[in-house]
Order: sequence, then C-alpha cells, then structure tokens
Amino acid sequence: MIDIVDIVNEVIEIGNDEFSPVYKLNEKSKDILFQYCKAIESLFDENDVKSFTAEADEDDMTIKLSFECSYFRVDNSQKLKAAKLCQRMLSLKVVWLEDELMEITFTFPPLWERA
Amino acid sequence: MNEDYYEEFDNTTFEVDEDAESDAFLELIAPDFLKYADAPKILNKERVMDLATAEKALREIFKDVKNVKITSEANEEISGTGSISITAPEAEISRMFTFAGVLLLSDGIEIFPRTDGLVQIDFGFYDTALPINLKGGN
Repeated sequence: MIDIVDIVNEVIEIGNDEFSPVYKLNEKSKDILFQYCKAIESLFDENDVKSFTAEADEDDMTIKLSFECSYFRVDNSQKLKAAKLCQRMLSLKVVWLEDELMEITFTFPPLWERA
Repeated sequence: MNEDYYEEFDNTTFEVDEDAESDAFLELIAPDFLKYADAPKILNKERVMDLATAEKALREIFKDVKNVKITSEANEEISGTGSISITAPEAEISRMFTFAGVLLLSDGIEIFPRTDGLVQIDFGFYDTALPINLKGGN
C-alpha cells in the first residue's frame, strides 16, 4: 500500500510555503491528520487502490485525500472507525471515472490558522 | 473550527480473521441453510425501522443533489436482508454527522462503479426478516 502519510506530509510542506507567513501550521492538527490517514489506509484493500493523491486546496486550505479504486467496503467490524472518521471530515465525494474505476475523495478542515 | 475536527483518534479496531470466521460459519449453517431459506419469515420491526430511518436520512442528505436515485429493499428474497442503494454519476456528501449515523445503523457499506457510468453506494441491513419457528440446538 502507498504510504499516504509521506505524501500528505509533502503536501503540507508545500502548503506551508504557500500559506505562510499569513497562516501558521497547527502541528497538533497535523499529527492528528496523520492518525486519520492511517485509519483511512486501513479501510482500503491495497489490491483495489490504483492511485492516491493529496492536495491542500489553494483557496480554502482544506486537505483533500483522493483514492482511485475499483471497490470500497466497510463491514461491521470497521464501521465504528469509519463513522468516527466521517464525523471528522467535511465531506466525502464519490465520482465515476470509468468501468471498474471510481474516485473517492475525503476532505478535511484546514491545518493552518491565521498567524 | 480545527479543534472540533482534529481530536486524538483511536485507530484500534476489532479485527477478525474473516476467512476463518466465514468458513466456520458456513460449516455451521450449511445443514440448515435450505430449511432457513425456505422458512416463512416475518419482518423484524426494529430492524426495518432502522432501515426506514436511514433511508429518510439519506433522502435528506441528497435532497438538493441532482441525478441521485435512492432505492430500498426491506426483505431480499432468501437472504432476509435489507438494503438501501444510492446511484449517481457522482455523489458528494457534506452532512457527515448524519451520514455517520446512517453508517452506524447499517451493517456496512459497499461502494463501486457500475458499467453504466454511475457509482453505487449500498448500505446493508441484516435480519430485517426473521424465520418463524427457527429452532437452534442439535
């Protein structure tokens, strides 16, 4: 499985360059976002994930984590974790791309606060 | 706003060996499965209410979204399970607390792309119908 924490960390560093000095990174929120990344990673079957991208939105500074995959399933043993994750995110988007391929995007609140 | 969303997250979960559990379960029910499948069933009111509540919440979540179709089945033939299906070219959900509540009411969720340009989101509800006079024991 792709190490999504590494990719998200790179995206945060790029965001830092872009948003500072007006905005300052909340380090505690960043660490917690990494916990969410680990939790999301554990919900996906690595065989189903074709690609992963992360983005810090230039306009609203939200963090978007996008998975291209063919199938996503949460069963009873994982639904509590998934539900808790849902409560921490701003939105969830699913888009059809082609036969046997879709994109699932999880959007989390900004990590940056006005300095 | 961040403090509301970024709170320490317990990443532990109840892990089971699904294959082993599944094999053991199939072995256990195999002799009775046909009898179970053919047995007359009655709707499990509590579980059907869960399904109805979840469907109402989902219709509220998607009420302003175009090209979204929501269907439900309270008692699928043989399995006695219920389901809610959402189909759309794309589906964006922003009422995440409500969505989390639906997930908790259900027995799980499956999301997959179909061959007709739509994605499908299925929520499963076990035990919406129960067989009458199904006796346990040996």
